[in-house]
Order: sequence, then structure tokens, then C-alpha cells
Amino acid sequence: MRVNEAVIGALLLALMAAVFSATAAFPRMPGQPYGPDLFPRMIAGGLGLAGALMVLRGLLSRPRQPLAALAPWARSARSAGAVALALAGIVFYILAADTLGFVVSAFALLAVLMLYLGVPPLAAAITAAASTLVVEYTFASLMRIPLPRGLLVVLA
Amino acid sequence: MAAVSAAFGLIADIDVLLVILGSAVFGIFVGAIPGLTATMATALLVPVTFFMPPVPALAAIVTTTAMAIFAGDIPSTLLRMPGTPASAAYTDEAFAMTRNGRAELALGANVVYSAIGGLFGTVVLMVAAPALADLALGFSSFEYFWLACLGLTCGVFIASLTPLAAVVSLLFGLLVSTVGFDAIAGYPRFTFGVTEMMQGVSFIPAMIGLFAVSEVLRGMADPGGQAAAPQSRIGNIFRGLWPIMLRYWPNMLRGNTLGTVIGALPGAGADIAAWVSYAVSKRFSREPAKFGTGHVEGIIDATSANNAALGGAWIPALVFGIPGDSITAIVIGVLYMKGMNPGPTVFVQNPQLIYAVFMAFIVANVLMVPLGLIAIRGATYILRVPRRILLPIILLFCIVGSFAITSSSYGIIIMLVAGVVGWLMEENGIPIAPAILGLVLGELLEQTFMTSMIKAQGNLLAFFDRPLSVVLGALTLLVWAGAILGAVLKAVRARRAAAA
Repeated sequence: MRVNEAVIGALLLALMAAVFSATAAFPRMPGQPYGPDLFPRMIAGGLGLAGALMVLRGLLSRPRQPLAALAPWARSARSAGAVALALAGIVFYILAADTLGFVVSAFALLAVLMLYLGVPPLAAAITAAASTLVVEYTFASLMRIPLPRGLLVVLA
Repeated sequence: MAAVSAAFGLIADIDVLLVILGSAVFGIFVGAIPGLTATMATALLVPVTFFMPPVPALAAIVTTTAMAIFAGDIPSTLLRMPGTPASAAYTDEAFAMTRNGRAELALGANVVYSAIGGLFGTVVLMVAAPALADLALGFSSFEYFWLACLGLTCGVFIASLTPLAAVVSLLFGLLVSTVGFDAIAGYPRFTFGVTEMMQGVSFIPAMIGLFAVSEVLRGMADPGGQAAAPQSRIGNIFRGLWPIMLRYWPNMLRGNTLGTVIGALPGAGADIAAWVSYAVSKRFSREPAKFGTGHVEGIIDATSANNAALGGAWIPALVFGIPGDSITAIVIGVLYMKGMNPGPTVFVQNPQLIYAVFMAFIVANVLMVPLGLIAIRGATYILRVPRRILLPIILLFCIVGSFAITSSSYGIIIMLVAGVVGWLMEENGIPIAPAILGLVLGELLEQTFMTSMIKAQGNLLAFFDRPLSVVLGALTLLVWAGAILGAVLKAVRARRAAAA
């Protein structure tokens, strides 16, 4: 999604306000004039300044830009769906991996994405299974990363 | 000298050599596939190197990036699709050579000049880094503060066409770096009560998100961007190369030098080195009219420069902990994980590890010629792997890699957020690289700034008290003044043109 520069600028100004209000409660070190709030406030001040410039530039630019416009790909339902599905896939993995385990959730993620992108079902199943097992072997067995076992604990 | 032989012992180990070979294959594969960059290869490699000793871990990164930057030239020459952004500057030129039936010569020039460029960058790194480290031993927080400022400034003004957007990106990165315990008082900031955020935003998952996930999302939006099968028969790529090497050796030297210098500048890496070198080559050529029609001259400059930039980028990374490009930004994270905190003292405490890194550079660039030859022969197969199978698998690697760093879903969540943010930023023309620079340098900048402020009791003039801090400070302010003056002049001229 492309938005007008003024919108980005307004968001930055809001971010500056948020940082200033959040840092107001930070404690000071006794005897020191500078506390943990100084640096974030300087950065936020810079962001606010840049935001103000962007608001001006966005409002003054001719011809006037729309507030927000969809990128060409987002107008195609198929492409937008693919992006949404990829994001949903990551969220699914975060939520499901602990219960289902790595092998099941990774296979499901790969198979669904490949099917959506138009890989034939048999090919999708084989590549998804093969890559899941390769990742499981290299990461969990060789590198000893504690990938969630989930359902496989019951089987073992 | 003892350190050099110790380093040789470290690198001439069968395990290390196997790691180098494996990384070379991985680097060629990633580099040759359009849409996958050398930085992304490094980000995906880090979780794997996490479990290796320091020398094979760093050798793996060195080899992968060197091979990826070269391999990016293969699809660029054969398909007019740059495999990595570092090849984009001369893609049209190289493809024009393919259309003229001279693909072999273009590929031969790419592999040979890439290897020479890489070796040149390595030699400069070997000479310059220890010398600079000697100088840097005398640095105080004031010098480091100015150095960090200078690095950030270069990242914004030299490496970017849109300074305002780059400044926003940089400041955003700096702001994110303040999440977690602050360096001076140890007060947890912006953690929203989440325990894991107290240690800060984990850097590697953020990188994987910003570079790899955002690229996967872009690819998902357009999975059909698959190229047709390239020219399938490749002849002898070394035929006709010798006369070209004799004729264009000044171009090679110029590309190497420019590439190393640009690589060493913080924020600008191999891709900018290639663009600048190609432009310089055209500007000073005796036959500028031939550029764009399949003329090898500009390719020599640019392909020499992008590989030389890799070595150059390690100079500030090793000596000051300030990354020369986005790859070394990740490398700095790896150095910290391995207990080799970058800075001048690493040259005193662990010289054998530093020399081993230099040797890995040499081995990688020497290996490039035979492996490059094989890769060019196998290109037709590499380029046939469909993106609709590749993208989901890369996404899985991103997830597992981010998980490996934190051993919890915290890493995956950071990756997801960073991926969406990075993707939205690029959609709106805000570059990602300055944000990375800010995220990496934020802690150093804040720590040196706060230490200096407390030392100076708030007297800003103390920032200019020491001879070296005067030079660095003045340099930083000059770059800022120049950039602001330039912007004002441009606005005034635009207004006049509009009024006339």
C-alpha cells in the first residue's frame, strides 16, 4: 500500500508524542542531569522534525497525491491473497508449533503455500515433506536447536 | 608471525575447508537466483554459524558473500535479471553482450575480475585494518561518538538518493535500538511489560525479517516473475580474455580501488560500488558511445568494484565495530556472539582469528574461479528451480533461523513484525539499509554519547577537545552542512525554474 507522504509524516509526529509521553516517567540517576530518557527523546525529536517536513511536502506537492493508493499487485486478488496467506502462515506457525510440533506445522505451512502458488498437489506434498525433514534433521539433529516436538512426543 | 601460522593452522583444517566449500555452493545458489541477495544469504546463514567455532563461522560468511556477489552476474548476463542488486548496474550491458553472442566473454570477465577484485579488497583489508587499529587504541568515547555519527551520516547522504526518507529510516532504527535496558542506568525502556523485550529487539531475527521476509512477501505478490530458460550452451569462457586483460588493466585497478573505498564507507556496499564504478568508467572512457551496446569496458570496472567492496566493508567493521555495508552489519552481531567484540583490542587479543578471516577471504576468492566455472555450466539447472517452490521453503528457513537465535517464538514474532515493517517501508520508498545501520550503531552511539556528556558535564565544547575528535567532528559537521546546503540550493533552483 502506498500512502501520501503527509500520512507518513503525521504518523511520525504521533510517534514522537508517544515517545515523549512514555519517557516522562523514566527515573533520573541521582546526581546526574542526564537520564535514560535523553537519547530516545533526541531521536524522537528528530523523527518529529522529519515528520513535519514530510507533512509539508505531502500537502504542498502538485499534482496532489491521493492519501492512500493500492499498489498494482494488491488489485489482483490472487497476489493479495498470497501475501495474506504467507503472513497468516507465520502466525499459524507461531500459534500452532508448540502443540502440533515442528514437523506437522512446517509441513502444513509449506504444503498450503505451494498449493496456493499453483504447484501440483503430488509435487507439493513431496517437496514439502522432503524440505521439512531436511530442516528437522539439520537444525534439530545436527545443530541441536530445540525445535518444538509437539505431537511427535506422543508417538515416540 | 606466530599469529599468522596459528591462523594458517586454524584455516587448514578439514572441517573448516568443508564449511568453506559448502558455503561456496550455498552462496552461488543464492546469488544466482534473482531476488535473493547476498545480505539475505548472510542473514539465513547466521543461525547455522551460531553453533560453529568462530573461524568456520566467519569463513562461511566470507565465502558465501563473495560467491553470491559473483554469482549474481550469471542470471544478469544470461537473462537480464540481476541475481543480486550488486549486479544491477551493468545488467543491461552484460545482457547486450549475450545478445551479440558474446555471453562467454561477459561471464569469463565476470568470474576473473570478481576474483581479482575480491583479492584486492582483501589485501587492502590486511594492510589497513591493523594500522587503523593501532590508531584506534587511543580513541576515547568522544572519538567513538563522532565515528558513529560519521558512519550514520555516510549511510544517509552518500548511500541514498532520497535523504529525507533515509533520515527517517535511520532514526527509526536508532529508536528501535533503545528498546530494553539502557546502557548507562540499566533502566528497562519501551518493554510494554514483556520480559523478553528487556534484552532489546533481537538483531538477527530483525534482519531476517527486514531483508528476507519482506523479499518473500514481494515474491509472493508476483510469483510468476520466472524467467525463460537461458541460453543453454555455454562455450569456453576464457577464450579472448587475455587481450582484454592487457588492454583494460587500468579499468580493473580503478574499479578495485573505488570498490574498496566505497565498501569501507559505512552504509554503502557492493551495489553502490558497482553503480559508481560503472558511471566513472563511462565518464572517463575513450569510447563512451559504445556503453550500453554490449561493451566489456564498464563491466570490468563494475564487476571488479563490487567484489572489492566486500573486503573493504570489513575494515571499519573489525576496527571500530561500525559496519561498512549491510552484510558486515550482520557480521558484527556474529562477532559479538563469538566473543570477538569488534574494536582495536581484537587485533591484540585474538590476532590469529583476524588473520584466519583474512585467509578465508583469500581461499574464497581463489576458489571462485573453478567453482564459478562449474556454476556457469550448471546455471541452466539452478535457474530452473521455480520460485513458487522456493519461496515457501525460504520462509520456513526464516522461521527456523529466527527461532534458533532466541529459542522461543519471540524471535519469530520479531521477524514477522520486521518483515511487515520492512515491506511497507520499501513500498513507500523508504530505504531499509539506514534502519539497519541505526539498529546496529544505536547502542554504540547512545553509550558513547551519554558517557561523553557525563564526562563533559554537559559542556558540548568538550566534544571538540581532543585533536582526533576535532577532525572527526568537523568532518561530520561538514558532511551535514554540505548536504543541507545542497538541498537548499536545489529547492531554490527548482523554485526559480518554476517561476520562470
